[in-house]
Amino acid sequence: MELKELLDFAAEVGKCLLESGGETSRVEDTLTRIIKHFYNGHSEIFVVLTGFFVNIEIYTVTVRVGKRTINLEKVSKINMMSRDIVSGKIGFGEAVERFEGIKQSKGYPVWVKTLSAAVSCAFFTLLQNGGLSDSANSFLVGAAVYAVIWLMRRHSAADFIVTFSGGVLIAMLTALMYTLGLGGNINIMIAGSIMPFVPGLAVTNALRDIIAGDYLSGGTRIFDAVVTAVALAAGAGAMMYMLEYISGGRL
Amino acid sequence: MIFEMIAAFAAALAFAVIFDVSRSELIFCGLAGLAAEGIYQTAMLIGDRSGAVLISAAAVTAVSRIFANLRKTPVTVYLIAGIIPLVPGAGMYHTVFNIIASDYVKAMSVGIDTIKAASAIAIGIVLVFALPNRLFFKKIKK
Repeated sequence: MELKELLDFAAEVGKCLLESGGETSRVEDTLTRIIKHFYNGHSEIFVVLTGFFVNIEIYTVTVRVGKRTINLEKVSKINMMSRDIVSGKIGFGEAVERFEGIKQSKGYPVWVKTLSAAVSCAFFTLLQNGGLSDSANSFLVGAAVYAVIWLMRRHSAADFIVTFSGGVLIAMLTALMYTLGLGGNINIMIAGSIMPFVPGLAVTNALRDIIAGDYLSGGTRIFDAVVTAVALAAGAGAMMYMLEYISGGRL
Repeated sequence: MIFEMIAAFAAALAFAVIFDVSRSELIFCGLAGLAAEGIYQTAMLIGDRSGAVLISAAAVTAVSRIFANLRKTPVTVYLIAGIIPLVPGAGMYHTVFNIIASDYVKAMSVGIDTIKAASAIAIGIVLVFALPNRLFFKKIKK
């Protein structure tokens, strides 16, 4: 195994981790472990939210991570792989092979995720003390909004716009179906429907990064979460206010 | 309360699917959500909301760490699904709605409530994360 190969492998692993929603501290930790296991000399790693540098002796790679999605299965599998590497269970060749497999894994099909978003909306509405008809309304809204968000992400619209539109759509569809006679309490339905879209992962990762002492990434992530949350709530709130105004307070 | 716990279980499990959590871990994500809601409801009986959120967030972080050690999976997997029933999504929406509707007094009171709940979650998570990992290994081997 050449140093260059190890460096490329590490860069690929780091990129995959960061793109799939791994914490900055996890990326740093995983890469350090992998490199230290295979090579004893000098190496440095520096990771921020949007990219990282890896340096082994005279070689350095800079990796820029643009598109960040969430795929926790990949994060877990890479975590498992790095454990196996460190414990000596698998060699370099096997690790590369296994990583190729991990990279290919696609996760659940879109329709499953759409259905899950719908189910999750429905149950969150029940948790907010909504009735069964409220929950049915949220189910439909959740499915529609998730599908639209997925489509927008695929055409790589900016995150803020995607989330904002999601919020707008939630308010619009909920009000529409309320007018058609489904559901009893608009506020509860909207509150339930926005839950699957709140930035839970960003906040959790931000906290982990901050505890690890990485205030740069933690701060960036907190800001990311705040922007997402505000976009979502602002979309729903603005739309709802407009609808209420147009309907003369009948909604 | 049983009903709420079941709803939280289903909601957390479905929420985990959106983030591509592997099939074998889904049930644990659901359990984390169930624990969060159960502890929150119990704590609500004796205290106020932010206290209940704090205790529940801390407890669910502990549960997630135990799961993580048992299943050799990153804590984040369970934690995200676990804390989601506690996240003040409704508060977020009402705050912004009231700001837009120019009802600033209400926006302020709902907004501060929301920030309080969000901070309570953050503090709860941080408190338990700061504990050494050994503590959670021992719990399993007992």
